[in-house]
Amino acid sequence: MIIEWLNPEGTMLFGDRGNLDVLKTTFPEATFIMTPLYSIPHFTQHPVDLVCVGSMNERMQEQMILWLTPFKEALTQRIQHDQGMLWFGNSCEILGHKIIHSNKETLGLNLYSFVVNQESIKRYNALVGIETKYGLILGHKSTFSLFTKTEDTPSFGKVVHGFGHHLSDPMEGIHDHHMIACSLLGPLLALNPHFAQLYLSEVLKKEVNLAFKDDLILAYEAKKKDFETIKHYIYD
Amino acid sequence: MKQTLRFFIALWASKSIILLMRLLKRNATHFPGDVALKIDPNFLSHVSRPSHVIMITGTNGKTSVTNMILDVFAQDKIAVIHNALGSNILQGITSSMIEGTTLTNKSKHEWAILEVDERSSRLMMPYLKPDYVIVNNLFRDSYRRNAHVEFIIGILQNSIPETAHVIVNGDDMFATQVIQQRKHTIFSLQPISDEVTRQDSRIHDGQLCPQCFHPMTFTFVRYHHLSHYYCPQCGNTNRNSDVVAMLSSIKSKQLHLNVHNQTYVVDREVPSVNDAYNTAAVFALFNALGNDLALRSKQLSSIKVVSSRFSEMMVKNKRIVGLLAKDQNPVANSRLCDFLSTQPQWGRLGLCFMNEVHAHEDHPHEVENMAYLYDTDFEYLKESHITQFMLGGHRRYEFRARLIMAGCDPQAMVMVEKEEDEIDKIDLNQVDTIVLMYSTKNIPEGIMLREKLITRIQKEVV
Repeated sequence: MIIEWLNPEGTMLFGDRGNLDVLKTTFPEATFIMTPLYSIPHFTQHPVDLVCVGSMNERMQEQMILWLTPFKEALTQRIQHDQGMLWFGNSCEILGHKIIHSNKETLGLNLYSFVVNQESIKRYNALVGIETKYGLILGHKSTFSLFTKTEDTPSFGKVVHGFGHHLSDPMEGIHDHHMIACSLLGPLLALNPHFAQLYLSEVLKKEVNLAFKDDLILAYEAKKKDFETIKHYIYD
Repeated sequence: MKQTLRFFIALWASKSIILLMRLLKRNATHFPGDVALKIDPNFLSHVSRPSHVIMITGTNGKTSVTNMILDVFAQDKIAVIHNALGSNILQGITSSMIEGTTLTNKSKHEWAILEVDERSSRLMMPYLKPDYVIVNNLFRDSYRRNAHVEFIIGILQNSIPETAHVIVNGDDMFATQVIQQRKHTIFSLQPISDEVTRQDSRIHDGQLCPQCFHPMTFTFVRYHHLSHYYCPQCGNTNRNSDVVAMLSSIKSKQLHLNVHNQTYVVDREVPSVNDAYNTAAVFALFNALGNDLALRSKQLSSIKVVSSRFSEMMVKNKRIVGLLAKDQNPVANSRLCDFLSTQPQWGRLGLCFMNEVHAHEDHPHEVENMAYLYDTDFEYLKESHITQFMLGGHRRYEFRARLIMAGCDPQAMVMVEKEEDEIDKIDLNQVDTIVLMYSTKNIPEGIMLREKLITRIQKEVV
């Protein structure tokens, strides 16, 4: 099994190391390819079972777009061929048509037509729960960004707590074939063991025994209690 | 800026509130500022500015650095406006300025020495126009407020006046980015001969050059991105230091500070890398101010570490250690884990985790983002001398899961519903040292647990 992480030096913010930990301990036999920025992504030339991209700062988003634009077709093919890809945190922002930050517009990879509007100072924070085909996904949003023009974007799920693409848009993330992008911080796989097990089993076409599953489920169940006591609330 | 009637109403009202709160023996360090700002949102641009304003900002060490400077000024019997007892955000700074201003808006003191939250600096620095700004370091901090280091760099670059003289840590490739065209003094700490450096941290934000994104080359990494670095592509490297701190060994109680080929010695009570950086920052400020450095080194030698950050006591044959573990801050917590892993002289350790943020109780609808647990180097706690992990409170299962992922022994973990119950469950036969790790928001609870622990040890330990 081969798992590739794109630009780990630049896309490992907001706890995403936890996602890598889950993968490494669940698949100790797997080969992990950590592809540096501006190298040729392994998946464009070789079979890769799962491609991951983590959270990054806004300047790094520009670099990622520059880097991956020549490989846009390979990314599209990967999605169309039902191959696994996980875009954690704000990495999903680069997949859209453009990112607007102050007066500057940066063209994205344009795999989808959404537009990202980034605040300069204001940060939107919320406890977020998303109903998906894998069940309830839990996490937090801490973001500068709100998405618009998301009509054509196949969403990951509908928020039942917090906010989605936008304060007024309950849909969240992207789920296209076996590509999932979710802006929740967490890390997604560690915070959502049920999802992690189901998704990885589906993508890898085998029964996956998630590492630390029981302990992660205890934490998940404890976190779920927040939803019973915490109001829908967005704060900065 | 012209002072308006609105400003004077804000000043007088907030001063009255301070008086009233003092009569009620309340802490008037936040609310008066809050009221003043509600009446006059431009209060800081109207309030009288002292002749000299020094601001201390950065991720870690702000309070220690500020206290050291205040201590030296106190030794000189110079009264200053300060926020040592209050908050370092807008309301706290405003409260301090109100306190330091007369009813007719004349500054009571010539100096203001203010610890400033880096995220909030944009709300204060453009108005109070500091003459000197110390940036001790810039690391990852609260993901909720501070996002990432680049965000904070941008805020500081835009907030620090062009006329300010910045004093920055030269080992920190991010802190030095705030210099730009400003006058500056750079301090650094030379590699220490017996220093055990940490290159296995989960956090290393400087792997790619912040200027050109090429992989950085390192000849020395202290921890995280504090390093001697060089970018082979664009040449970005450490700047020359004006103040070079040196420790002959990690346990040395004498910090040598080299300035223009002259060496000054500062005696330190509890030597550490952090303390060396803090002292160097303060010394660099005094150098920039043109002070008598020989005198300053003597004054700094007499300063003690603030006890709310670190305390140690023996009760019978048990050691009780109190350590500040800043909530939501993965770097501060990682440094703590590193510190605990390298204290075998303390014998078997029992760790009481208290760094659950209080937001859940005080602001029930603001839920803390626990992603920082996954960036914290809990792997350092896999040491065999750490025999008990006491986990209590609302987030105990999240802590447990993360500690298990880090390789810590689940059998050594004790779960209790409430943090205060951790003390009852410690197996005193299995530990020589109990470490209470509290956060900035629950120092009183930390003290309460310590008292409870003392009572229990006195009662149960023979």
